Formats: sequence, structure tokens, C-alpha cells
Amino acid sequence: MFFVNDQYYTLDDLEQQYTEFENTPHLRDCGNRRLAVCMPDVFQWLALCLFVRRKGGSIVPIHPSVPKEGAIRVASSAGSHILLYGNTHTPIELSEQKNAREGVLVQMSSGTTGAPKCIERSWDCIELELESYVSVLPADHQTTSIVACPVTHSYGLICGVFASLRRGAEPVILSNMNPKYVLKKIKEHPKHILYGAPALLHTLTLLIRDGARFDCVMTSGTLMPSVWLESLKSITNRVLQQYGCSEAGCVAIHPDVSDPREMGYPLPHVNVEAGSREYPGEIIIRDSEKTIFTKDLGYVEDGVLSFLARMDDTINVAGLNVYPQEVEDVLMAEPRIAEAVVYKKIHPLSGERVCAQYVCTQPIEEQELREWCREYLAPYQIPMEFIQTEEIEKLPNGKISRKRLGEGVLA
Amino acid sequence: MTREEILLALYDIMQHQLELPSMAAFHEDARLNEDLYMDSIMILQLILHLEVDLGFDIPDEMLVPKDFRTVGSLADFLNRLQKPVTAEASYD
Repeated sequence: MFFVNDQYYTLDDLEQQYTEFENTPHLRDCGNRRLAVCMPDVFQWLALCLFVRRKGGSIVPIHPSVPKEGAIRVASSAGSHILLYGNTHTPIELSEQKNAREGVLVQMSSGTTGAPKCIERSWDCIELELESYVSVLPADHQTTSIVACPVTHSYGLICGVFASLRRGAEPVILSNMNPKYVLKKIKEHPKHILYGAPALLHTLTLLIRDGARFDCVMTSGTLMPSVWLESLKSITNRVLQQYGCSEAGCVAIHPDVSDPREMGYPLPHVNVEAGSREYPGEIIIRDSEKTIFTKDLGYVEDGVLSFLARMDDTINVAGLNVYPQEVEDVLMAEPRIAEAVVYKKIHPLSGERVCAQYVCTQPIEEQELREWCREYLAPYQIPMEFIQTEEIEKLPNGKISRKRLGEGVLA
Repeated sequence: MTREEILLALYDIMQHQLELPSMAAFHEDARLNEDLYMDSIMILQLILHLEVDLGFDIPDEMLVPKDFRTVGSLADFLNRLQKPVTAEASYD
């Protein structure tokens, strides 16, 4: 059925777990109830998730590293009736109030753009996504999904675990984030598709040895810098990318990425709309139930969706759009720059201006950086302010908040 | 490397490579997660620096959470890594 790290679980193990749940009053009657779950045991969590889905109840996954008080807060704001913290035996009762609907997976959006939002998706809607996802993913039942990202998040849970089970393969779920361990698992399953976030994939690229290679690698969540993608591609048979959001799940897959901005072909169950290359627009997703405005800026060309920036991140310099990623790629192509992030600051007189923070391996004069930029960028794209830093600040989910970096006013 | 040198190297990575804002709490008993506020991505980067910059060969096994709990337990773990098994046995 599936592996969690080295431990193999069969269908029998799952059935046995279901029986145990049936004998637990607060779980047996979970239909039309909302359960928040924060548990370190991956098998128990997945079993519970599948059990609640079967019963028509709702589930609120909470990452196992969240402390108890934090979990209670998240669970309450998601309208949960009970919270299972650490185990299934001692439920924390939270509410008796009825929610508008149940039979949903509840997720909190990442909060890159503000306070986290509570997002509900019906199990039917997830079923539809899965069917659509599996129909276009270039992987058969002999390809092992190696899931090296949290299975409390939709990327790991739906695309990593559920989609793998649906195509008849046995996923390998890694909760142990030792990169060397991930590499070992990859060796054990030569025909694989590895699910990870760019930071992990990049670390693995730097640690892989002895001519070893990745088969297929899936990236998602945040744009991968071009130089990272290049080095990843040189040791991987095929790099895939997927794009989506908590409201809609996965909506596009690229089967073979060469430009990190290319998110790929929209899945058959959705309609994805964005501007053109000349006039990029907001990425709008329509499925059978709803229309989602993503606040992402992109375009569709030859059927391929490309992502440029969060709309909030796009920098408007005197009417000209600057996409941070484009400038970051130029900066990171300078051999001495290890990492760079570009964001906007508001200048009290002249409006939005491009600013950059960078981490370097050897000292660089600001003048050298400007000259480097001048070779590749238009004058309005060149950062006005360069700040050298030891590390670039990230949010707890590993994403960079350009908004936060740009807080404060340009001197 | 002696255990003292390992502690210094850890301090150096955390201060200069990871630039932890919580370095005032750096101490042998400081917990990586609760006291130094390191998240999984930072642990990943720490392992990368230990491997690539300092030449430690982190085993490709499951990391034992106990080893990565505090600065001191991590130093012990790295110290053990350096010693061949036979030599370690002879200490007992």
C-alpha cells in the first residue's frame, strides 16, 4: 500500500486501523463533524484522513511541528469540533456549533499576502482533481512517488500520496528530512518521481554523488531560480513542475521544464485564463463550481501557462512592470552571488522602486553589480538599492515574503 | 576536530551562514527548534554546510531527533561520526 520512511503498511494494516477508529466513539461518529488533526505518526494521520473521507466528515490537517496552543488556535478558527493532538485517544473538545457544510478538506492558505484564510474543498472536488491529475501525469503504476514534503499540505497529500494510490503505485512518504536519507531512498527506487520544494531539491543537487541521477523530479510552491533549475536538470532525466493554489488544488503540470516560469498545461478539469506575453494578466481558474482569482500574474502562450509574479510583488516603475524573478535570475547568474531576492519599496516622491538583497560567497562592489545588471537589464529594472545580507529572511513555510522585505520606506 | 572545535564550527555556521537572529541563546543546552528557532529548511542548510564546507559525512540513515535536539547533542553526534567504530569500541 505505502511506505512511511522504512516502514511498509499493507491494506490489512489500514483496515485494522479503521476497526480501531470504529471502536473509538468520537471517531466512529465523525460524519458531518469537523476534526482537526495534529499528529506526528504519518500512518495514523493518513489512515484517519481516509477514514474521515469515507465517513463524509471534514478534516483540518495541522503540521505536526505546531505546538499545542497554536494547534488549538488554528483548529478553532477552522470551525473544528474536536482537535486530536499527538494521538487519537484524547480529543480536545472545541465547539458544538454546526458549520455551513461538512465533507470537506480544510486548509489554511499560506498567508504570504496577509492573514491566513480558511479554505474548504469537498471530497468530490478533490476526487475530480485527482482523476484529472493522474490522467496527464507522465507516470505509470511502476513509477514510485517519493514524497519528501509535508503530507498535511495539499501538494504532498493530494498530489504526492492520493494521486499515487490512485494510479496504483505505492508511494514512499518521507517524514525524515535528512537529505542523505532522501538520496538513499531515491537509489532504492530507480524509477521514481520525487515530490519536493525547491529548497530541498537544490540541497539534494549539491549533495548527490558518484554520478547518481534523479529519474523524475516534481517542483512546486515557489519559483525555482534559473541556476538552480539548470543544475537540477543536469542530473535529472526529467524535471516537472506543477502549479495550483489551496482553493483549486493543482491546475497545471509541465511535463518537462526548461524555464522555471513555465507552469505547464492546464489540467482537463479546469479552465485557466491569463493575459498574453505582451499583456500579462491575473491568472483566473474556473472549475465546475467556482471561479478563483489567484492574484498571480501570468500569461498563456501555445497552451502553456507561465507565472511571472504575485500581483502584489510586481513592481510598477513609472508605469513599467518589473517582475522580481527576472531581476533575481540576472543577479544569481553572477558567480559570486549565492542567493538574491528582489522586491519593491515605495519612494515617497517617485513611487515604486526595485530593491534587492543578496547573499554572496565573495565580496562584490556595488558598482560591479550595477554593471553586471546593465548588461542584461533595462535601466528601470536595475535595483536602486542593493543590500548585502548573510541570509534572506523566509516565512515559516520556506517562502520569501517580498512584501515583508519591502516594508519601510526608501531613504 | 575536537568537540570544542565542533561547537565553534556550529556557532560559526549558525551565526554567519544561517544568520540566526536568536544567537544570543546559543549554548550547549540550547534546543535547535525551541530556543534557536531553526525550522526544517534551516536544518537542511545546516546539514549541507556540515557536509560541503566541513567535510562531515552525515550518514544516509534516519536522523535521530535526539541527536538534533540541542547544540550539545548535535556536537556529540558529529564527534561520534569522526571516530571509526573500532576506535570508539576501544574507548569503552
